[in-house]
Formats: sequence, C-alpha cells, structure tokens
Amino acid sequence: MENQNQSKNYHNPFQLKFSFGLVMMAMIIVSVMTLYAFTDKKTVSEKENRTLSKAPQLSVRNWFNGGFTSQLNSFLNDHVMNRDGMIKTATKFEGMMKKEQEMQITIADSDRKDIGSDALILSDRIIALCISNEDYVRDIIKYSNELYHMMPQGVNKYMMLSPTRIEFETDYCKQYTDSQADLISIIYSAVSDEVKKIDAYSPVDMACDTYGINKIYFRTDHHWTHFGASFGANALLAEFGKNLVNPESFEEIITGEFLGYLAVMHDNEIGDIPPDTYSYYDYGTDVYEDAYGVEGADITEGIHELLVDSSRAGYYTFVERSYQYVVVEGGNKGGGVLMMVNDSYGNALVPWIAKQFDKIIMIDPRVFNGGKQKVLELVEEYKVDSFMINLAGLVVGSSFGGEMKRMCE
Amino acid sequence: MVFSSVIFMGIFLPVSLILYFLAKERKTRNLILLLVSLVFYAWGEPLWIVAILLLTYVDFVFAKKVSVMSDNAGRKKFLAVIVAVNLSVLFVVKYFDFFVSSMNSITGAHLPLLHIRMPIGISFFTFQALTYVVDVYRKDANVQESYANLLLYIAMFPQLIAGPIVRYSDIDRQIQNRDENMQGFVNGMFRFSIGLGKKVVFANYAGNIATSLLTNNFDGISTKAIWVGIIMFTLQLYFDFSGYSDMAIGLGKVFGFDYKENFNYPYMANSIADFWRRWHISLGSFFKDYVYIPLGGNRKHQYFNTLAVWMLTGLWHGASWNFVMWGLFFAGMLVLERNLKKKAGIDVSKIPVTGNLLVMIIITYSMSLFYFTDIHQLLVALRTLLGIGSTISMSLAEKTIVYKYVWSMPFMVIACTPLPANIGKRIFKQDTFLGNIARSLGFCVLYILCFILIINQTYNPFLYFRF
Repeated sequence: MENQNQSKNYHNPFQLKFSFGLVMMAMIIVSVMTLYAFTDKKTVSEKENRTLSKAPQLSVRNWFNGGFTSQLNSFLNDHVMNRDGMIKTATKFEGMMKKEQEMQITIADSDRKDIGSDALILSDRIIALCISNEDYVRDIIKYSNELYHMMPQGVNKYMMLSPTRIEFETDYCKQYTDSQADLISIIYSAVSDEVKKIDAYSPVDMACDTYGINKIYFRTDHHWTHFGASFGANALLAEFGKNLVNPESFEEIITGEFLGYLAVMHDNEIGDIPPDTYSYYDYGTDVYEDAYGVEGADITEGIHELLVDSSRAGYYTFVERSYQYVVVEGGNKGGGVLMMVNDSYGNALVPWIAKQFDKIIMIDPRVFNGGKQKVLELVEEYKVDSFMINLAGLVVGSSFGGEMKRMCE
Repeated sequence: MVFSSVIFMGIFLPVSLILYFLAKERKTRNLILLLVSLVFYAWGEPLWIVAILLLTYVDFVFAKKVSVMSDNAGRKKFLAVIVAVNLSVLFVVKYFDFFVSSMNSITGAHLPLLHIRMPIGISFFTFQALTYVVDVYRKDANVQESYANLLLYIAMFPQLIAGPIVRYSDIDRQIQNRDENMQGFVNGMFRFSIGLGKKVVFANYAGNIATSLLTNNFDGISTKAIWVGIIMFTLQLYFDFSGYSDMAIGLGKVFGFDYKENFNYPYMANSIADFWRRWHISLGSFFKDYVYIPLGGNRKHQYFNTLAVWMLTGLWHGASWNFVMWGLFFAGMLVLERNLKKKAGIDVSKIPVTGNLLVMIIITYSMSLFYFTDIHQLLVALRTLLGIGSTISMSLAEKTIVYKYVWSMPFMVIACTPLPANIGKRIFKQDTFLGNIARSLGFCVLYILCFILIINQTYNPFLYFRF
C-alpha cells in the first residue's frame, strides 16, 4: 500500500516535538499570510491592471446562494500577504515546468486569436507566430479580389504582403510557424492577375542578413522598426517607379527604451526581458505638415504629431491607426493619389513614401465602417489613381479578411 | 470547501486543529470535529447540509429499529425501506433528469425535468450511510446509540465529499476510542501535503494540457495529439483522486482515525482485474460486498452480476450515457480476461511488461469514455484514438502544445510508481528522528509551495467532487 503510515512509535518526545514544531511553523506562516488579507487596504493590482475583490457582506441571502463563500475566497486570494511576490514565484515555478530549454511557446486556447497571442517567448525576445487558418486565408483572397474588382477603370492595383520577424528567425524557432513565403505566394497567385504584386520579402530578407534581424524588427513587439519599414517602402517605391529613400542619410533619433505589445500581452510569461530601444529617423517632418484625419475623428494635425504622439508610449513609428481613414498630404502634386487598405505594417511604411505622392488615403478595415459606398466616394473625391492592399504576413492567422468584408458590402 | 484553497489552508484547517487539540475529552473532541465538519460542508452546500442531517437521522432511527427486530423477514423488509429511502434521494438529485431526458429523447415525450443542482459528495455520503444500515442489519457492526456520533461518521470532513468510502464497521470503535499522538500528527500532515502536491502541482498541470488538447483544440485533432491528451487526463485523474485520498487519509491520521488505503499504484496493474483491485479500492469493495456477493457473486449468474455491478459503477460516476458505456466496457474487458484465462489459458497478468503495457493502453483508451460526456465527441474520440478518419501526425498548433509540456510526462509517470516512496523510505526510515525531520521539512516545503501556487491558480475543484 502506498505511503502507509505507522504512528505507534514515539520513543523520543523531544525529537518528535521538533518535527511537530516545524509542521506548526509552516501552518502558522500560511495562516498569518491569509489573515493579513483582513488588514490589507489595497483596492487595485497595478501589476495585473485590475480591481481587487472586496470583502463580502454576510447576509442570509448571500450565505444561502453561495455568494458569500465564493466572494470571501476571492477576497482572500486577492489580499494575501505579498501576493505579487507569490504570483511571481508561482509563475516562475510554473514556467520551470513548461519551459522547453530557453523557449516557451504560447498558443492561445480560443479560436478567436489576436495577432501575437500565439508566440514564442525566449530569454531576449518574443516572436509572434504565424499560424495560418484556411478560412482566414480564403477570406483575405476573396475580399481582396472583391475590393480590386470594385475599383473603377484606370485605377492601378497593387498588393504588398510583408513578412514578419519569425520568417527570418533560426530554423529551431521556425519549426513552430507556417512559412509566410509560401502563404504570400499562395495569396499572390490567387489574387486577380491585373494586380501587381510587390515583393517586400526579398529586400527585407537581405536587410536582415546585412543589418541583423534586431535592426529590422523589434524584439518585444510584432512590428518592424522604422528602419525595417524603409525596406518595404523601397520595394513599393521601386514598383511605382519613384525615387528610393536612404534612411542612413537621415539622423537617427534614439528616444529611449520601451516594452512592446508582445511583452505587455505576455506579461505573465516573460521574465526580465531586456526592453527594446526605440529610434526613428528625422527625414524632415515639416514636409508633411498638411495631414488630415477625416471621419469619426476631429484631427487636423501635422504628420509630426501623428507620428510623434507621446500618448502612444514609444510607438512613434506609426501613423495613428485608430481612425477610419487618414488622408496624408504628401505635397508632390504630380505624384498621384494612392488609396491603401492597410494594417500597422502599412502605418509604419507610409511616412517613408508620403512625400513622393500627392495624397495617400489610408483605410484601416478594423475600424472602417463606411462600406463599399464610402470607399467608392473616397476614390472619386480624392481622384485615386492607385489602390493597394498592404498587410503583414501575420494576418493569415487573424480575422482581418473578415474585417475587409465590411468594406465590400 | 476545497482542501486546495486559501481559506482551507490558511484558516479552516489551523482553526479546526487548534480547537480540536485544545479539548481534552473524547466527547468534546468529537463534538468539535462534528461542528467543523458541518461548517466545512455548509461552506459549499449551505442548503444541502439539511439533507445530510435529516438523512442521517432517518438512518439512525431505522437502524436502531432493525437492530432490535428479531423477525428475519421483517428485518429484511425494513432494510429494503431504509435502502430505498437513501437511494431515492440520490436518484432524485442525480439520476432523475438523466432518465427523464433519455425517455424524452427515445419516446419524443416532453416530461418535465427537475433541474436540481447535484450537491457535492452526495454519492459518497449516501454510500457511507448505506454501509452503516447494512452493517447493522448484518450484525457486522453495533448500532450507534448517539446521533451525533453517527453524524460524525457520515459527515467527517476529511472524507465527506470525495471519499474514500469508509465503512462503518471499520471505524465504529475509533469514534469512541482512538489514539491521537504527535507521531500520527506529523505523519498525517506529511501525507496530507503529499496529496496536496499531487493535486496542485501534478493534477492541475496535467489537467491544463488535457483541456488544451481535448477541449480547446478538439476539432480536427490528430491521433497522436489525442493520445497525448488522454494520457494527460489519465494522469490527472490519478493525481487528482489519489491526491484527495492521501489528504483524507492524512487528515484522518491527524485526528486519530485509520482509514483504509484507496489506491495502490493502479497504473502498475498487470491485468484489468488487478487494476480494479488497486483503483478506488473502497468503491470496488463496496460494490463487491454490498452488490456483487448478495447477487450471487461467482456462484450463480456470474455474468449478469458482473454486468449489473459495472453498470452501477458506471452510473455511480455520473448520470450520463458515457459513464454507462464506461462501466459496460470494463464489464466486457473483465469477462474477456476471465475467459481468456479459463478457456484459452492466456493469463495477461503473467506476461511481464507487455501485459502491463497492454493493460495501460486499454485503461488509457477507456479514459476517453470518462472524459467525453458528449456522445458525438466521444465517438469521434474513440475512432481518432484508433487512427480511423483522422490525421496521424500532429498539426502545428498541437505540436506547440505538446512540445511545450510533454517533457514533464516522464516525471509524472514515475510519480505514479512506487519508486519515489521506496526511495524515500530507504533514505528516511519510518518514525526515526531523520525520518521525522525529513517528513516535517517535506511538509513545510510542499504546504507553502502549494499555497503559493493556489494563489496563482483559478478555482480547480477535485474531479471526484462531481460524483
């Protein structure tokens, strides 16, 4: 029989008392930590960013419906002594049980996945995985084609899908992800032949080899850096027959350190990961002073404000994304008008290309609710001559295609 | 209340121990143990505590009557009434809706359901009450003269809600006359911490993996992944339930009670029959002594008796068709095993390693009957496990889950064997100074570690609570 205990032998009372004392000590420690909850005045956990449970009020109803006991359990859980320290210890212990060498793989349990919820967590970086979903890929192809077909005669059509960091990581990391090269190729071949497909993959691949992956992509975020975005921008400018930009000819401004979106999203799973250094290039912000945000937002501010927005804590790379659409006045009157359906990769890219266009109309399908009619109105109003869908490869694992659907209805 | 909760570890247990050991007299100690047990149950089931009090009172009165009756036929009838009363309560709260909804779906009728939320531990305490009345009827135990003592036997908090099913005849004398001592306290608390560790560290961990694969990623699951998921569930079930039994036995020891073992390394079994001698021993022996043998045992209608017992065993675990299938599966396996031995001369238990492996594959396969309560999902799982109509290789998402966790599986498998206990026993001899120090330090580490882990875990009740 397992763990049989015999308890008849207590020859040496002192020795037994010592053992008994140890047992009691552990129980007293746990009791004190628990009872401390009744003196704890904290109402908010800053670490978990939530309100802590309050002590329940005992009533007949509360007792018989079980509310009192469950609320008291929650209250004690939330207010035990040194709770943050215990959670840190527990997380470390659980991490020890989970870790495969120096790497953790986090796969979101639900079907509803945000970009970055599936990730590889290493000691120095977090990488968003690209796990494709057949339905999502089909949606992206279907609604991209619908959008292209919606465009009036004479509008040039482009598509640019940009690879993300995992694509250029080590083979060991890449075994957990789908190949974005393959997925981009599948989507490109399924999209209408009249659409010009821009190869952002090759220049970014080359840039990773030349400058190192950490110069092209953030370590704690799923985006490319301001510098990395310039390679995508040049791929686009080359296709449009415009002048390429050389970021190294501008001054690099280092603004400090930040922990990116992936670090915040996986806060409980990461250890002491070194923060990213944020830098951007002073390519002459005064050129873009006439940028307008329209519809659903009352913004009329310069590109500098759009880019260097302190409220976005370090995300200076991007043109603001939370508007239905943004019209960037590039000032190059003969440069043409580009309408772009894009995600945050496009937001990072636009500042590099803006001054070579007359206008760029950026539509974010995640917040745009105007539908087909509004899209066509914008095309007519701004005399759009080029239309581009510009997304990151990661969208094959998200419902972005479904959001594009709203633009076709 | 759950053993693996902050309130139990930080308040209920220490307060109960202090109150109990401050009292000097047996009567007072029993009264304190009874009161804290009632608080323990009322904490989770504030209404159903009344049912325990009433049911116990009915059993108390009826058993007293039976004990003084001399007419055998009358005693039998009386016993039948008491058993019917106990089982009818169980039937109404646990099985009524199951039978009515099954009838509705077969006949197309729309008979109303009761929708009563099943109180936790009802199967356990009903069976304990039954052992009392039957033991008294059989004169295997003396009738209990004190209602409080009978209530203490049925409602004692260490084993109230998830067993082991303690027979009245086993602890009849201990209620009045038992020996609480420091050695028992240290050993009991250590045993409690082992059970707590099994639950909080291993069972919850294995359960997360099983849920990730078998629930969250079930659609289109591959054969390899479903096997990993089912193996993890098999491990979870063992650590969860045997952990609870360890805690119950350990706490019993602290209060001076000697409960019988409920598990004996079941995954080391070399035959299906052997498995059931090692798994949930108290339930197996209950059905053997109170159902199988009275029905005729091996002497007559053996196959029918086997079928009946295993149908009931399945139903005891839950009012659902998957549990009935699970019971019938084991009835079939036991009959097959017996006939292979008798008629073909093949004794699985005599085949070293392979026999054990084969048994474990069958047991693991059968766990899918236990896991999936939805019949459609169950059928998909059963064929996927056999590689029929599914992909064999794991998808990327499955790989990421499996590779993340699977390395800990060998440690869990080793923890299911007698190896850790044997090593511990060799190094730290039982009841020696070094042994006691090791046990008490082991308790300190496990108790505090589990407390820390519980803070970070969401509510994780024991699996067997639902029975």
